[in-house]
Amino acid sequence: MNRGRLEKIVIVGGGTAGWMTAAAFARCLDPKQYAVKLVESDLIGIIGVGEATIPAIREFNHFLGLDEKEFMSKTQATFKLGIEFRNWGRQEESYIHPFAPFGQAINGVGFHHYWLKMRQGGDTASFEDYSLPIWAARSGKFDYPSLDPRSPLSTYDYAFHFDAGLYAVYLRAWSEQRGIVRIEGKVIEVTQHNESGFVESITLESGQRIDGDLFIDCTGFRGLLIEQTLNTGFEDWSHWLPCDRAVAVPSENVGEPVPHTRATALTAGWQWRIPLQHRTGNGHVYCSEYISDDEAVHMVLDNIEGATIAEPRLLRFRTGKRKKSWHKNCVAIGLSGGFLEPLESTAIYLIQSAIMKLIRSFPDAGFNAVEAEEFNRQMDTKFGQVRNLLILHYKETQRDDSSFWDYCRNMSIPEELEHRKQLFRHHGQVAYKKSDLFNEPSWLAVYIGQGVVPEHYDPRVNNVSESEIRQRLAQIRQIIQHSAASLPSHASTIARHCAAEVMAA
Amino acid sequence: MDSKTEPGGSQPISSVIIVGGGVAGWTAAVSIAHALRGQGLKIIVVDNDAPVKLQAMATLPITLAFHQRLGIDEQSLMRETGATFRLGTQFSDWLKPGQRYFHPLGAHGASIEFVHFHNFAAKARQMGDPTPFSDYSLCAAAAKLGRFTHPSSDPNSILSTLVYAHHLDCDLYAALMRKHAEANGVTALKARVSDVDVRASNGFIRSLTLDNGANLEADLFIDCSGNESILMGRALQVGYEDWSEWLPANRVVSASGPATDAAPRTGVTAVDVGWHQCIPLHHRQAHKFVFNGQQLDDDEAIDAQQRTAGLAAGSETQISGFRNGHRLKFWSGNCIALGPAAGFLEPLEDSGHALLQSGLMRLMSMFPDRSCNPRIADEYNQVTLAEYENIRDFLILHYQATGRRESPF
Repeated sequence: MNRGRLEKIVIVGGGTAGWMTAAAFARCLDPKQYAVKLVESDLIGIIGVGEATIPAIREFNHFLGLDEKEFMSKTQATFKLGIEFRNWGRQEESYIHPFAPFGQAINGVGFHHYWLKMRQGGDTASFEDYSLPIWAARSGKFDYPSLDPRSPLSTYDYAFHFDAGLYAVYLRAWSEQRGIVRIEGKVIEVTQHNESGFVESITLESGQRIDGDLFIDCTGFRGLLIEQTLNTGFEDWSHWLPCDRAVAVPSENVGEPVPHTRATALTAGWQWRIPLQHRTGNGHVYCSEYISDDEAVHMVLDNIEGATIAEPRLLRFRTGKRKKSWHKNCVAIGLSGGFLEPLESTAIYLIQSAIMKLIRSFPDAGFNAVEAEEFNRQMDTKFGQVRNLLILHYKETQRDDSSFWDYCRNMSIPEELEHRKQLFRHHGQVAYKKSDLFNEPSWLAVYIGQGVVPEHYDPRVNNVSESEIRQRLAQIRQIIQHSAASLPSHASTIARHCAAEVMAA
Repeated sequence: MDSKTEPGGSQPISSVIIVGGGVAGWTAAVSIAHALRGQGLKIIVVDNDAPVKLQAMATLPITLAFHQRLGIDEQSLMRETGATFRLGTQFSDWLKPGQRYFHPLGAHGASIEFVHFHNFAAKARQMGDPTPFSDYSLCAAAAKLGRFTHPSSDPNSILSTLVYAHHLDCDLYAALMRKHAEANGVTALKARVSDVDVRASNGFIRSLTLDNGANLEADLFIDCSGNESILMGRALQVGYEDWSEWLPANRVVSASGPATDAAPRTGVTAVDVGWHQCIPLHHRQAHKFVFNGQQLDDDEAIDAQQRTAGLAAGSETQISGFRNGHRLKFWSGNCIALGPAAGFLEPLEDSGHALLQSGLMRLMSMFPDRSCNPRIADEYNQVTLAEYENIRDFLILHYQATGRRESPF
């Protein structure tokens, strides 16, 4: 088998996935040794809507060496401390999933156990009272976390909202400066090797033929290479996550941008609200079995604060995952690899995660099957982890105001999630493993926010007297409120560090 | 829903019986007693164990957090158990005779440009650089020189990359754990279990009958009875997953030699018919020789050990058998097995005590009520099994990656 280095890499499709991949290759593959080409058609639009992220995006930007302030101003970005979920567990309720732990462990026992004990005794302080970023988010405040580990302001993490289209443009310029070759054109033919079935080349409408050793499929839902050519297959998860359409529409900002994403549950889906510097991204993710497109459009328009600035755009999707993200010499990154609705802002994370795993187990021309298997195993795990947390939002609801919610409340869920949920419900135990994408605070935020409250707390809590617990909890609440109040407003932090050029919304 | 399966339901556990003393039983006793101190929990250890004399163990870094949580300070721990520091394991003659490598507890090198260090070392080697990988580990370098200091808390200091654990004398350690357990109100009963009463309805243990005629009931039972596995294996009939197909060693000779001014590391030497481990303690050196009883009889093994370790012929030795593998369940009903009663992996990477400690930390973070919700047991079993399998695979790698072909072992 040829163990030589592969040389020619072809990324098919631009957009967020394509240009993030190109930028990462530009960053770590020596252009003297590897020729990286990206093929995209000016005629094929990109899905990228206003995009919300999780803090991992900062690692990716740091890996590329981007200047964070420049990145923010180029992409009209705002800061993000978490996601607000409205009307999920019940109507008129709201909770925030922050990027930070709640409270502080006492004697090695998780904080939520102490909170539970006091709650069982009649204490009414909400779990959110023990989260500094939630206080800050609800009062429109943001500052960078402190680097001093002793400060309460060091305990939270942050992510961004940004315009994914502008991010792709920014990364394109960055990548082209570093030797990535962009070729404009529409792919009309894909040629495979007779025996191995490996992709050998693609041919463009212009007649230009592009050979490659490794192909990255960033062609979105259709999966031009991974599915239309290699017939890799798709694992459908729509019985757990039945939403199958979205309508997106931007609107003018009303007031200052808030430092959190908002996801509001509606009768047959949910609406996102993503604040950017120049506009607000809105969209309605819904299930076409329970609501018509027209109704879905009306519903989203009814719930938008500012004037709309474009026609609503309809997207269709199927939730699930490609059976293999890496098949033969083709790696699917982005929507071609799988789709999960953006309820937990994980789309860009899944792209980034695929890119970094690919780089870590970068193949040579021999394409050892072990690398692809490990890559696929890890991507399956990541997709499964996101999927399970999404399902929890739908399943753990008391809403009974529509047949959509009746379906969700009564559907069966994956055994692993059922196990986790029972463990928490009975015992307050978050079955958290090191390889989990969502850590213990994330599960706690969603469980408790959705109304899953454990029956029992950890018995070690009883080693601390009730009066001491009461005093410690009051102290934590006070420090959090005081620290949150000391922060500058989100808008002023943006203005000071990373204001974007004013552009037509 | 699950909480209604057992009479007593969600009442807190009020009594625990631990079957077996020794390192596992007394460590379990002190962990539970300390974590739930002041809550009126009654803990009895049924202990008829003879001292294990020659045994010593090497621990992993989890041991530091474990003792800290128990409030046992390092100085008294080391003073009372004849302990020494440990920065890793020196493997000799493992890949081929005459060759050595060091497995440090801390990391090798530092990532450069987000690429893990081992990739650079591999490239340097391909380009002809003969530097051993262990030269990039501060633990390895310090161990080679016989030096030790505590890690620095300053992340900018190279000394912050030191990671360490201890070598301990088993009998002294069990005695220390016993002392702390008794100070926390644990009662010892010198007796043997003669009968176990299991509820037919749900497989929970109701009570134990002891050889002195006493009958003891409890809410929770901990099986620390070693290879016998009196509760989990014998009474509850939980089977054993045998891994000897991959890890065929099944006997061990233990011996002791005079203390030397030894380096802060464990030594492991492969020989034709097995491998030899040397654990330096403050007051002696503990030796183990691990082999396969089908290939070597006990006298030959004792001989091989004395040769390898340079011990005088006729030194005191002890021989015992083991089977690499684990119980199919570590937690069943209201019974949890810990230590060799739960499973055994040969001490090549010193996993035994770490498995006990992490099992106990896990048990304390999910301590049940009287219903012993099966979800908790499932979770405990899943995570524990993953730990065992992870260590098993790592152990097999040692044998698979050897270049030694000169003996059937």
